[in-house]
Amino acid sequence: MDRRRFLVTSLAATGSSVIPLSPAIAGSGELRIGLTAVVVREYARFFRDFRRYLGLRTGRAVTFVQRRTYADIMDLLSRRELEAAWICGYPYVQKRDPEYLSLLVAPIYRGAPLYRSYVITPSDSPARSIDDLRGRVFAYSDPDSNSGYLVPRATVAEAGYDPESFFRFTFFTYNHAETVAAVADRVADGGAVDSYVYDLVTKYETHLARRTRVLASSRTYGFPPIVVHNSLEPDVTERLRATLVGMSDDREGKELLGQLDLDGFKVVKPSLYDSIRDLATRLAARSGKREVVTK
Amino acid sequence: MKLPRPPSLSLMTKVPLTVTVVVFASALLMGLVVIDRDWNRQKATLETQTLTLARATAAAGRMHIVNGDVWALYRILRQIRERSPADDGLAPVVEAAFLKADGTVLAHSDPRNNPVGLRLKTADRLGAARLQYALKAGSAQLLPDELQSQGYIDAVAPISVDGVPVGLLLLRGSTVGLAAQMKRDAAVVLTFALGLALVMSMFGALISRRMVRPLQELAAGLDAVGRGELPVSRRPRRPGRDEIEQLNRHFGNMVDELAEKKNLERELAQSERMAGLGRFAAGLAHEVNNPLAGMLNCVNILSRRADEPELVRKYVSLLETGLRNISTTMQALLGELRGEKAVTTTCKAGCLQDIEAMVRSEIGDRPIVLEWNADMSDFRDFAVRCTCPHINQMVMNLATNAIAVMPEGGKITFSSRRTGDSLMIEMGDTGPGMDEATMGKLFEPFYSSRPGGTGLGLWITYRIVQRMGGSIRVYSKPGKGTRFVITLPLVSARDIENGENIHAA
Repeated sequence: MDRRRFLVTSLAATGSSVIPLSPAIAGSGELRIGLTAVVVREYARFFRDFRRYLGLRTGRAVTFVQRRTYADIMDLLSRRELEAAWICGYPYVQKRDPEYLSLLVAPIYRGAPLYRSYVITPSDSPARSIDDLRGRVFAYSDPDSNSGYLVPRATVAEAGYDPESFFRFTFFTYNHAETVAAVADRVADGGAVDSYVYDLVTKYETHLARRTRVLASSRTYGFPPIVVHNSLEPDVTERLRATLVGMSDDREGKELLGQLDLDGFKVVKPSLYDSIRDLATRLAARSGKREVVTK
Repeated sequence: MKLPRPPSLSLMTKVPLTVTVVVFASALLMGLVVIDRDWNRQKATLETQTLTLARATAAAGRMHIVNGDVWALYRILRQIRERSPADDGLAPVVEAAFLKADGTVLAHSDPRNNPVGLRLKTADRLGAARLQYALKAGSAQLLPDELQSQGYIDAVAPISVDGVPVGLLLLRGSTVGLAAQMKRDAAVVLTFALGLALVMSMFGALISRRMVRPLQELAAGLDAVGRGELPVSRRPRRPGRDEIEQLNRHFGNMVDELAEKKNLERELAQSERMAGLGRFAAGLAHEVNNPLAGMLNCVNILSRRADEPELVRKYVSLLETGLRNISTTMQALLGELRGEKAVTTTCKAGCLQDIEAMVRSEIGDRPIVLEWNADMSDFRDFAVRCTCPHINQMVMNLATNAIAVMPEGGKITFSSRRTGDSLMIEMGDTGPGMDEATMGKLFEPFYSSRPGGTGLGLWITYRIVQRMGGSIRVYSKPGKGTRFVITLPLVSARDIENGENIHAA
């Protein structure tokens, strides 16, 4: 098993943030970065290296905080128990009043800060389109995931069905890689996953991916960003942003990026995530429910 | 129906065979008993493990059922299946499922065939009964025996929240691994039993060799004794403590004694033969010497008074009588000795009837009663190898003796009858009888217990009986009379038809 798969699986869902170092407060505050639940324990070396890398350059002790769901991480952020997090675009566009999160950077994957949502099925499934999954069992990743929840539901809705009743049974795996496993084991007849994670599973857990195939692929959306809490000192925020953006320029940073299969991090405009917001708004309007609260 | 008798085997085969069979059977039996016990114990352990696993799994799934987190439930099932390979001592789980209280599948270890959100499918009536029972189960338990399937252990653990049932866990363990292990154990036991039997059969062969060899030697020795040979006496190599060696020693002693006895007999026979020869020579000398004294006297007188014709005539006549006596004796002796070859002619036993008259005339007017009882009714097709004169001579010899020993009178009884394949002739008298010493020399030539006897009559009778293939016995005690019994073999007339001369006497 390759540890990068799990790293990426978790990082793709949440994020990390760093507070810039100033002489007065150096070492005074811990930089807590949220991730979703993964088996971090087994990848202790990557996180040790990554913590040290970020700590040296930001002047803050870095801690990675793991929770199983996006909601748990968002909750910690709202209570300012995290300074930064790697979250999904969907939670990012949800309305907060007052807004306490700022977009820090977005990962660059295969040359752009973009990814897609895949609907996958078991490799021997007779389904030819999402329509064929009607009345079947479907696995979502997380109720706050864009690629693993919002996109497939919107797709079903745009095809004229009620996403609540289109599938006979749905469940959450709270992890994109687990969704691939659920489909491969045929617990679900179909599942929605992050294209970035699926690519990594294909690359590093070939035996698992081989038992599935991509049924449908969505348009591109903004890659899950790294956000910081607004209360974080601006200089720390800037130092963290600079550190992440500069990773692709030094050998150690490149090595860490290589383990995540990412090209680097770049500063993006919030408008990169407008398409997700539009999707959520349209779905809410169509289903007549207040499915998403957008900014 | 009679079973064919098994071929008689030698101890050399029987002992190792018996040991082998007994050892193999006991080793096998013990091994199987142990395996059976082990099987029951292991199965009980497996059942306990299955139940414990069911309880623990149900507890682990409780909150996920409440949360509807079917993926977490599935992961639990996947873990207990992955973590219970057949050989780590835990019950190998072949099937597991979390169900809602109404039987709907929440998670199943075989999701392809048991999709979530549908009621659990049951393959047969037993499966349906199992599900019915499980849905009603009030506590974690193994399903009752009548609901269990061969090779599996089924357990159910109900899950409830605040007393309200929310679901249950079904767990099916397999005893296939256990059965395979038992088969391996059985193979080991069988191999062990066979090996032990092999070793013990070799041991048995060794023992039987050591036990049987002296017996075989003993048997060979007894066989030699039976044939009349005397084997070299075998002494045990060491003083015998066991029965076979004691037997061997006794046999050795017996052989030694037999050899000694045979030697003695040979010596006795030799000395008797010499003594008999001595007596024969003495009798012959006496027979010749007796008339010789008178004849020498005659010659002496004749040489002195040869001129007396009257006297010469008288003495020459005496000489002639003496010489004739000697000649008669010599002729009888030579005649008897010449006729030693076996009699080949036969005569019908009926000829005996003619002898009665001869005996009666011999008795004459002596005060002797003759009781003649010759039963000839049974001899139609039989004959005796003899000649009539022989039979007559035999009977007359005995009768003459009987008459001679009873000068004061008495009774003579004669009888002849058939007993089986023999003709039995008996002649008894009421005379003075004989002592043992007399009886011992009775059939020797020139032995006579009365004055004037030649001593050849009974000797000749004895030789005739011998030549006819028969036997003669004498029963007598002083004062109790004497009885002779002659037994002669009969020949069937059919056997003698071809070419043999039959005397119809």
